Amino acid sequence: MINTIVAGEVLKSITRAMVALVSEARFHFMADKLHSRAVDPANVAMVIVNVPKESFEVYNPNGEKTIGVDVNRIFEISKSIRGDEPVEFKLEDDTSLNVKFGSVEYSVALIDPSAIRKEPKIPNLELPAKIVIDAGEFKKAIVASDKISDRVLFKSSENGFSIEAEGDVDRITSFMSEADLIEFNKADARSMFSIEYLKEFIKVASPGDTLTIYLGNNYPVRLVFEVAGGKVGVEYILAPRIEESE
Amino acid sequence: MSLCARCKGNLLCGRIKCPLLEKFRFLTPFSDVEGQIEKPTPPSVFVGRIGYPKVYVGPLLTMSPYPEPELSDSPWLWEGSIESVIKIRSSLLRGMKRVDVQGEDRYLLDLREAAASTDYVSLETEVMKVIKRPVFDDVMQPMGVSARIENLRITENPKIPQRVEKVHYDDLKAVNALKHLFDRGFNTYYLQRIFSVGMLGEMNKRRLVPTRWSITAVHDILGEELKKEISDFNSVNEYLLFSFEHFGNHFEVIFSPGNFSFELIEIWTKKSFWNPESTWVGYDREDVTKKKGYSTLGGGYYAARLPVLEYMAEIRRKSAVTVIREINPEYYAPLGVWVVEEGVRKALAEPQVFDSFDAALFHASLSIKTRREKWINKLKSGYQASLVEFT
Repeated sequence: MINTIVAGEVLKSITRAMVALVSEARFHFMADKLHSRAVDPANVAMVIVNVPKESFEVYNPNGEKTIGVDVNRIFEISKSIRGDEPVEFKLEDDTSLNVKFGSVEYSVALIDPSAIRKEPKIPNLELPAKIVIDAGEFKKAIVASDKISDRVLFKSSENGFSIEAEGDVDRITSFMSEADLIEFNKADARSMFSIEYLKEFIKVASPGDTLTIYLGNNYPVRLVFEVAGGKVGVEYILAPRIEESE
Repeated sequence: MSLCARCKGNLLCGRIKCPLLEKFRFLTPFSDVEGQIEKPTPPSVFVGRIGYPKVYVGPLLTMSPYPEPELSDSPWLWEGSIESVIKIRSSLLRGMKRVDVQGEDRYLLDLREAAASTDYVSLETEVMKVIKRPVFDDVMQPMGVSARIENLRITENPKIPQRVEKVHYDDLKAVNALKHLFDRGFNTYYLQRIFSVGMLGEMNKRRLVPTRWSITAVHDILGEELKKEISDFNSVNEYLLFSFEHFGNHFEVIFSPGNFSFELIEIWTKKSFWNPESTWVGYDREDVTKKKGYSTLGGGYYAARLPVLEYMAEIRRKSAVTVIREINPEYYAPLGVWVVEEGVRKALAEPQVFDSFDAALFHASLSIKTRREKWINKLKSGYQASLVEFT
């Protein structure tokens, strides 16, 4: 029924993006794109994945179709696929999915979509600050902050954008002025976030990928990644940690 | 900060023996036993941690003719003085045999069957050498005399629930197995026992887990699982205050409206067990995300968190919770983290209702003997919000 061919890196990006939060997910093969989204069990973060049909070598969903997938399994398998290797997806019936790359054919049982946790509504957030940044720089700041704390402060002001973490005896500040950023609207905003989540999110991105951050005040952040050479859109929405005022 | 209050017998001071624990080495509750014996076990087992992965493992046997051997391993039934608990526990002989944690033999098979029994069972064993040295620990319950033993035999049929057998023969992750049995009414003490003798978990990963570790592991695993369950609930809509005191441990528990968070303030007053010289105040907290690292407050932290989460699951409401535990000089011997687990569990019955956190906290502080200024500034930091609040 469904028959598509896509580059290995696209499959890797899709599954890596989802496993950051869930192990099972619904995938919607729509006329113009492949779409999936999910929230983690604690309702703290959401992932939204969109792959436009142009990102596929071949995309034949034959009408709209939703399947339930154990993304963990496919993610593990996808690790052995080269980035530029074409991967064929075939869905013969409603029970199993075939993934073919090179001489390898992997077949996995599908999950009844209705047995997977209900998909979240995408919240409508008004976030004043927009920061476009190289994903590699962002990744560096998060990895370093993780060494000393479990939370980071994102701060946007006229001067620039900063990521700050505070340890017991040490402190990390990663500051980028307008010149260091790809795009920046200089709006004031600040919110704090759990590194536990962020460090899972950044795994999807490589240096050179673009990340757009939409930031508010003690409000969820939207992290919009363009990965796999711009072929895959991955968005994470993360609820903030609220700082108690003294 | 007092070193003893943080160390709790782990010899951070560099001494060979803990001088505080040494005070209790005098207890010799029953006369010497050697040779072949047949005695009931409540059931209770002990898995040591010294020498891991080759550890001392064995049953605890009831030596004095108690009418109900089960009582000696049922902390939820214990009340009264510290002496009464020490007395109950001193009636147990701790059998020990050195075994590899991944080992598999007749000794362990019989021990597992005994551990999984819901009723006391009789065991036959040969006592080789008796070691008179009672054990006190901050996490584990006290134990009396120990003895090297050999050749364990169950001499009657243990009563093992079908659900437990099913989980035991299933290739289920320990987390899922524990939660499955917990949801079906098995208490933490039973689960700790079968977890420590290596009856749960994926087949190829099963091993003995030292009792001390298994107690906190079960509290932590069940707590984290319950956190996921309650995070979707609506919040309590008033400030609730609960209190309870036993064995020189006073508990004040405040439930506040909001997302799940948990914070514990521990006040070890001057002259309480781990803290002979000055009052020590410790603090730790977490939110709905998985607790990172081991709590600076030790196993008591996880023991206090579990009953709080159980209560939320029961009332189907989430809450931000503050627990204040004050330990008074009356608590002169450590009895194990069950003092905290049962203390908080028993506290969560009839709340007083307040319309602000400050009002509830003020009321709670009236029952705390330590001056307010000494501990109140510990309450701080934010919490993890949920996406639900913004939709």
